[in-house]
Order: sequence, then structure tokens, then C-alpha cells
Amino acid sequence: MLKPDELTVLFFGKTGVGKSSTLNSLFGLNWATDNAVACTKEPQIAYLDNSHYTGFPYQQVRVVDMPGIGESLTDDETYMPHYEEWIPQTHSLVWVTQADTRAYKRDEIFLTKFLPLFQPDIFLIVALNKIDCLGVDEGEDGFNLERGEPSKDQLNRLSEKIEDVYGIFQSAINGKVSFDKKQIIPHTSVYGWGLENLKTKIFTRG
Amino acid sequence: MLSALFGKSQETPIRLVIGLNQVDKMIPDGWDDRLNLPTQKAEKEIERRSKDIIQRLSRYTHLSADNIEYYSALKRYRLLPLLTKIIKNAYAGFKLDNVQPADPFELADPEVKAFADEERRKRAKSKGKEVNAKDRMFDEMRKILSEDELNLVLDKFRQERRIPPKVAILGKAGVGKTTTLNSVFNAQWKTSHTIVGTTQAQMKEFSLSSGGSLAVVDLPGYGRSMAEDREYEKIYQEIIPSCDLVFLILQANTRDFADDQEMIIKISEWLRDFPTPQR
Repeated sequence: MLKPDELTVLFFGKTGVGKSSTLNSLFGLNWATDNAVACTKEPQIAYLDNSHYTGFPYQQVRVVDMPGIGESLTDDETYMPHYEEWIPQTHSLVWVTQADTRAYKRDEIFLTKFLPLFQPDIFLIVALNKIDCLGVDEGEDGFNLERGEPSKDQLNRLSEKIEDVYGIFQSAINGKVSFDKKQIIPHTSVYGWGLENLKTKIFTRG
Repeated sequence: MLSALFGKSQETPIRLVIGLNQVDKMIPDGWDDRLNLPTQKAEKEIERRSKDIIQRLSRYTHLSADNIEYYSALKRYRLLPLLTKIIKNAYAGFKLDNVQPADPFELADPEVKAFADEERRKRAKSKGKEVNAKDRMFDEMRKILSEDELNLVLDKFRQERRIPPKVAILGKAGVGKTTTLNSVFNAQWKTSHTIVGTTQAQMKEFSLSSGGSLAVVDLPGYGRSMAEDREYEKIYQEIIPSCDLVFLILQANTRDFADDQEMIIKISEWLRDFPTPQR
């Protein structure tokens, strides 16, 4: 049973988008990640409390990392009971997806599937990872490694990107829960850019 | 090659090549810009990843490592091995034998490029006259076949040569279809960036440096949204049976393959129903 002062934050998204990697960078966890093959096969849970962070607004926060969707059609079926168990308990749902793709159909399919499981006041965040890989043309600048931030060319492309992701998520959500563009947080779990913003969103839920 | 020419073979090969693109983004800091090659560490990860994907895909279809190749279109990495698989698996693939992929050394450090150019010059000199594989093949056939028989083969060969090879290219939205076409076939088309993709099938024809031409059907990307996919599937089903080769591109630095899996199964079925291109 949920305690009233406990917040459950669920990390969800397609396989390989960097859920565990984002969690590790956000909260200094040490969960296994792999560049080549999927490694989160069961939900993994971490408990954070105010001894970890100053000004922590909750007594305890439970962070759950879910196995990713879309690995294969059969894996999606296998993981389904985990999703059905955890999503109704979620206060903040961090839907991780990646910026360097245009394919969001699996996100759309699962979001539609999960809508009936949402708590009415669920707070949805779309964490747009891999900003460092955001496409640039030949001759344009890629991610600025020295400063650890996106190049000007990447930033120019970002608002268009967010607009596109917003369109797809918004039409799937179809007014069932509140969702606006500010709930899409671009970041890179590898270089850290955007993570502070993401953390703030998760804890303030608005 | 001969069996493809006559349209018979014991086991109909599947006219499908799967390319794993963007291996340059496989791991952070995994690319050596000076050499324009992956770092050693990245190369290991790329190989592991490729093995995993091949294993996954072969579980659902009759595809094998012969149908799958990893590369990076943007960095022009491993374009030749990719082209080799395309030629091998295409119907009458010999029609693509003189395609020259874009040169990866043009993107390397000028010093490295100069070195590569020098090495190439040396090799070209020491090699002397190259023997054309096709001429050699016909020489061999001349020993076995009568004059009339050989002329029949030659006629059929020339006839097939006159028909431009038709390659359908598809993949999930944003995997780099257009960039791939540009570098593998050394053609110049506009790429669409992160947002707006190739939304309808685009038929493009271009001349090969060897003479003759290549027809490419640039198919709209799948996996963007459910509504779009329903529309596009009709286009795919209409076009794919007519092609000499289907070239499907995956993004090597993503792991979600459910969409691709669905698509590969469908394509394999369509191709099996039409073992030779419907012209």
C-alpha cells in the first residue's frame, strides 16, 4: 500500500533509449547499462530519501526502472504484467524516448494501451534523451563536447523536434491527462545536459 | 549469378538486404575523426551489437548474415561490404557491379587522405591490367557451350542489362535512407532532417558511372505513427514485388525492433510470393 507521503516515479520507454542510464546520472545509482544489448529484464527499484538530497520535498521517493518496450513482439508480451502492476501505482511517469529518431509508433501504441491504467492526477514527463546525437547536416556542428552542451545547429533544430514529439504524444493522450510542451524535457544522460531540469520536473511535478 | 540470369535456382534467395546504419553513434566518443574510423572499443561494441541483431532477425525469418551488413552512411564506413551484399542478393545483381561508393578518406584528416591516395596509386601500378570477371566467365563458357548456346546466353545477358535494376529502400522514419543512397550509390539527393521525412514513394533514376542506370524507389518510413503505417503498407505491398532488391535500413544505435520485425516478416512473405521481380 502506498503511504501518502511517498512518491512513486516510474521510468518507462522503448528499449535502448537510456532509461537506466538517465536514472544513474540523475540519482547517482549504479544500475547495469549496456550499449549493445538490453539488460533491464525485471523492474528495478531504488528508494531515495531526504538524507540524499537537501530540500527534498518528500519523505521517500520510490524510483522504478521498467524493462523497455519494443525489444521484440514476444518480449513486449512477457513484460506486460509488470507494466500492469506498476503503472496504476505511479505518481510521476517519466516516459523516456530519444531525440535522434522520427519513429514514435511504439510509444503511441503503449501510451494508448496504458491510458486506462493511469491515476487521474498522474504527472507525465517526456524525457527526450540523446540530444547529443540530434541530427545535423554535413558541415554543421555536432554536440559540443568541451562545453558539454548541444551545438547552435542542434539547438536550432530542437524546437521543431519538441513540436513533433508533442504532436504525437498529445494526440495519443487525447485529453485524458494534462500534458503540455513544457513537460517534454530534452537531455543527454551521457553528458549531463538537461538533467537538472529533468530532476526539478520530477520532484515538483509541474 | 548465372542462376539469377536464367531465373532458376535450387533455393530462391530472398531479395532483401538489411543494413545497420549509424554505427558511428554506437557508443559515446566512439569515432576517430582523424582516421574516419571507429575506435577499437567502439568496433568491439559494433560487432557485438551486429551479432545480436542478426541472431534476433534470423529467429523470425530465413535471413542470415549474408543478408545483413553494418555501416555508417554519414561516415562512409563499410560501404563496400554493404554494396557487395546488395549485389549478391539482388536479382541480376551484376547490373550493379560498377557502382562506386563515396570515398571515406575524403572525410579523414588531410594527412591520412594523402597517405591513402598514395597507397592506392602504388597498388594500381603493381596490379597491372585487371582481368574483368565477366569476360573471364564468358571465356570459360565458350569452352563448354556451342556458338549458338553462348549467343543465347549473351543475348539474355544484354537484355537483362538494358533493364535498370530497381531497388526499393525503406526503414523506420529517420534511419538515414536518403543519406545511405547518397553514399552507397554516390548519388546526390536532398536528405530530410529530424522532422519531416520522405512521405510518399519517390521514384528516382540516376546514371551509373559504368553506364546504364539505377532505379531507386525511396519508400516512406514506417514506425512513425499507427495512422501513417496503415497508409504506407498499401504502397509497400504494391511496389515491393516489382523490385530487384529490397534494402531495409535499421538504426544500429537503437534497440527497439518490434516495428522492424513486423515489417521484415511482411516483406519476406511478399517476396516469397513473387520470387522474381514483377515487371
